[in-house]
Amino acid sequence: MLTSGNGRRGGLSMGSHLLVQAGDYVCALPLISVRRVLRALPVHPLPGASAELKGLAEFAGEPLPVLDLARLVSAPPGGNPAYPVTIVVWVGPQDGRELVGLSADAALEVADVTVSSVVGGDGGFILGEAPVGNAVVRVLDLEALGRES
Amino acid sequence: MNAPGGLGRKGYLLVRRDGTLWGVDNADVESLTRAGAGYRIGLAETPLWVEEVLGVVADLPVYPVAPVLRRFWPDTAGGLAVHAERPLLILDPRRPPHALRIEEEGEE
Repeated sequence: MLTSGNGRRGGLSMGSHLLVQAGDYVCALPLISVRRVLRALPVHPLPGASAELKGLAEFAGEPLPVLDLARLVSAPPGGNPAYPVTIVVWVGPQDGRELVGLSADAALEVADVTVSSVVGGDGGFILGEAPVGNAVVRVLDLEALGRES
Repeated sequence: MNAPGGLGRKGYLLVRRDGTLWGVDNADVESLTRAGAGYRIGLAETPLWVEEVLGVVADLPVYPVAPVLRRFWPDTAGGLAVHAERPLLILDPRRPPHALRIEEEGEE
């Protein structure tokens, strides 16, 4: 999904990512997978759910599972967020993608991330780390989030 | 309150336990009786217990359980729905959820 940043379309390159604050980490979500950024949706917890699953919310009249992004990336807790958000994203492969909400502390900005700058990663949801400006961000593969079991 | 063989009215019985909303297809409900501080729901497989019965909803679009949800939630549901802007779980009568099972004496 990441490109060298050459494939610009309508002012956004295919490497455009939404940077979000999740605990102490800044994560980069591929902009092509982001459907909407909302003020944090009310979430209803599910009994027995793992810590990564905050619960269910309602989005556009449909049920939406909401995941805790900081937990997903094992981020140390950050400060008390002033403007927490829910980022509605597509996850999983193109032929079986689903909508999921990601709970995060803040939406920061859109930035280009080039594939050649991504290093490390867990071979799955966390594609790796990349420098953006003066910071290092965790680049996420949202297709993998829907694929992993 | 006891209505064997389904509640008669087509739709979903809305119930709540531990803050979570569930919908039970009326056709699957064999009995509904007071039990302690809540209600006992008789199903073909196993009886369940809930704290509150909120009513019956006639028309409830049901969505499949998302794979992401299955990955992070070990219990079972037959689907998902939204009623009055509130998400809820639809009970699968063949695989009743652990979250609604009768575990304590007061629930019987």
